[in-house]
Amino acid sequence: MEIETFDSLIGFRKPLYISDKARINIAGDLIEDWAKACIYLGKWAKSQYKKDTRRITFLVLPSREIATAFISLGALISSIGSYKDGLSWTKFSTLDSGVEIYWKRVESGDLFIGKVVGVELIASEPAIKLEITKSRKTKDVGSIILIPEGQFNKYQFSLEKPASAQREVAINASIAFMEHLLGDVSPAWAKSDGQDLLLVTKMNQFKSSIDYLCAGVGDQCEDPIKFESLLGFEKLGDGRHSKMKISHPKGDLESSAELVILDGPSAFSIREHIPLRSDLLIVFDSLEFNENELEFVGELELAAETVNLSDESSHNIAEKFPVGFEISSYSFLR
Amino acid sequence: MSSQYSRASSRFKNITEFTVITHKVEDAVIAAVTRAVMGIFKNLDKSDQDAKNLVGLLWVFKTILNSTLVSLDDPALRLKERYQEISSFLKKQNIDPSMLSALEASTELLWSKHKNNKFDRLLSISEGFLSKSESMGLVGKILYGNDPACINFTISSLSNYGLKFKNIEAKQQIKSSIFQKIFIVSPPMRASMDLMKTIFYSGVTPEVDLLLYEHENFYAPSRIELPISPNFQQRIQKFKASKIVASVSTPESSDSELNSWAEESFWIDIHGGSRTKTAQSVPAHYILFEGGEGAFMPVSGKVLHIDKSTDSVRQGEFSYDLSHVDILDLVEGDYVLLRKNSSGFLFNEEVDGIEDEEEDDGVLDKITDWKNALGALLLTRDYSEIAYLMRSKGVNVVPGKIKQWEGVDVIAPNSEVEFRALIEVLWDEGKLSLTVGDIKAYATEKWSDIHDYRVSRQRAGYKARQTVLEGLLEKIEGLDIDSTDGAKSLDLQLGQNILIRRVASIDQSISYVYQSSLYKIDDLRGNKWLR
Repeated sequence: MEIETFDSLIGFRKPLYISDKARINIAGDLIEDWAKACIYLGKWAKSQYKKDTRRITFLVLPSREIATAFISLGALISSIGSYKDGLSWTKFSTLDSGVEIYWKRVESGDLFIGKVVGVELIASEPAIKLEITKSRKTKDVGSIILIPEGQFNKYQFSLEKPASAQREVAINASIAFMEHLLGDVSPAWAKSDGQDLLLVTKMNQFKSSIDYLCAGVGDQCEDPIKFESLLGFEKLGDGRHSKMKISHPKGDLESSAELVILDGPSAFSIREHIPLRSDLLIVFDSLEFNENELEFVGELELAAETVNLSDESSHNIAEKFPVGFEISSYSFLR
Repeated sequence: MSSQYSRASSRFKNITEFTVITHKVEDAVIAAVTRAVMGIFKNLDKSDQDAKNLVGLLWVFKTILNSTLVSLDDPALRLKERYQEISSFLKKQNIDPSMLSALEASTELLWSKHKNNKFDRLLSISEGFLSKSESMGLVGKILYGNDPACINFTISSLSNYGLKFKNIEAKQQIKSSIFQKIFIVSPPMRASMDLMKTIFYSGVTPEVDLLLYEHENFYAPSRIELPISPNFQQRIQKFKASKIVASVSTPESSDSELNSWAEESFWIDIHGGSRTKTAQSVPAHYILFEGGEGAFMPVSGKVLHIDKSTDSVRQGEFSYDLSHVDILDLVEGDYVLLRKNSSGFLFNEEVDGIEDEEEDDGVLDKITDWKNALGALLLTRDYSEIAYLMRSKGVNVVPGKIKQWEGVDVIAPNSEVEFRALIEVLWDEGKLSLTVGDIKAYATEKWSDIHDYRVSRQRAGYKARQTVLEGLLEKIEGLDIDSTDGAKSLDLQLGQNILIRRVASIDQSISYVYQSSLYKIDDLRGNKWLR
């Protein structure tokens, strides 16, 4: 049987290069195996999400100082792969009245802000009734409009405030990068509502760890992308169009993310504040893992569902991790 | 300075290639002195006070001899003066004269020994690194933050040979570095265990070279490994700890006995705390600072810790922050900020922060009154049964959590859902007073009080930090405190009531002391172990 490489398991179509010198040297900057393994593990952990069971994965590494950046990238890659749809008609038509909504007319590019008023039938076809509360044209403000299902695709709707022009450029660059790396990527993913990932970490340390880090892919290396843009995480006080949120252990942990990464002992100490609906991936370095954590893993082992080595989740695990990786993963009924 | 990505890549590479090489060094004189010291130690009546003092002096003498890289006739080692003091104690002891003459004869040879065999070996091993920019590390400062073996002097001498060495004293110094090689020049009896684990398990170097005399033995530190779950077992390549274990040999029992004796005697001589609990005593750890000061701090206490900002390290500048850390989390090499009150006692930072708050009396009792009901339920049910009852309420918790909630270290569950389920179980089981009435309203009110209490504690901690942050952090801004020589170089004139101290050693065994002994700074500079 052919052993799958991390590249094929992650879905890389082209080689990924990582550098911390603002430019890529193709001869020497091919991503290191350990970083690739971290991306893979992030992707794997995110892809294991199931509604009825909660997965808790513990990862111990010789050093975790920048590992979570790669794990986060992996989790986002998983989200891209599984992304199906944005704000669909079905979801759109069930929004409560009064909900604030943002939309753009695709043809003209005009932007509007408004409120859902309700649903009405126009000749037996359901239509959403919206009140415009903000528009470039002042005369439109206060108008009520009806958008029938058949016209839905002429607009781009979002529950999140549209990105600024600068952010839009960053999002587009990130999507273009991911397309080169992975192939087919839905541009709607990056602009869709909600977060896929919450990283609980010491924010300043995390940000400084990726300050100079950039990535290049295949023949596009002349124009590398900053890792921070690639992750596109939520900035303080601005959660717009971020698929990843980072928070300090003592910060705001509110998130709809399916996967929460707890980076280090301080993040681990707030694990009970994370809702049961989220899976956990806990990352420690080899000296931080002590008696308390051992006891925690022991409890996981006792409480976990029997691990079925022939089930799908076991089959999809990479054959070999680099030396220094220690991993334990268990699932439970939520 | 390397970036975090390059550094992390080097660490994974080093872990894969990690090797420990033991270099056995011959030295007949040092072997003879060590043998004589061990012989005398075995024959001493250790209950006698003079004998106790003697053993301490002998241990320090032997340790310096085995761990120094300086020529043995170098006056900086003060070996002659140390031996004279030993001699005066020996005369008062009833010791076999042949043992005394063996020690006398072997030490005589020391005074004329104008070389150091370990140093020569280190030079020959390092030849390949001459004039190279790669940094090598040396672990040698083994005595409680002091440097009687003159390791700092050795490091500067090595630079004359074109060799770039860093004196490794604490984990903090190396956690953001990569070394081509690290030399350990003697069994690290008094080096921090955290430091040794960092060297062996964090990939800071691909190679550790042990320089040991024939009679010396080395114990590799062990760490707790994550148990691998069955679904990952075939996929993990274990770090080859066997490379470390292979170099370990069995210690001579007398050597081990002397070290154990020295370890316990050291702390008793330093702080005199009792190892036995009494009704009036409280559990504490003794923290010894570099420069010869120390203090008892309560096991559950906190201290202000100076954190170096990683961001600033990267840019070659240094800025710091303060945080409250548990006494139990302190390690050798940590910098702490101490505040003294007008009587010379240190503030208990944890209590100090909360004192500023409004009346705390009775609040804690009120918000944790349900613990009595939990205690009552635990008389008839065990933790797993309570976890099972909570599961029937749709809330999954592990039994260990219930154990934590029952204890004093945790105020309440962190999750409101879990708290409500627990209260319902206590009510169903008839353990809450009937006067509670509406159980949902009771849980809501109690949870709100718990939340308010937690917020007020956080605010108190914040306030305490603010009072010392301003001005102080500015003073250390730009200084690399880890490259300074402990407290000596940090004469920052912070005022009489603020002290910055580097932790030299922590007594890991608990002592039981009177409340009044806590946070009191002792001056131990004249102590025999610290000279």
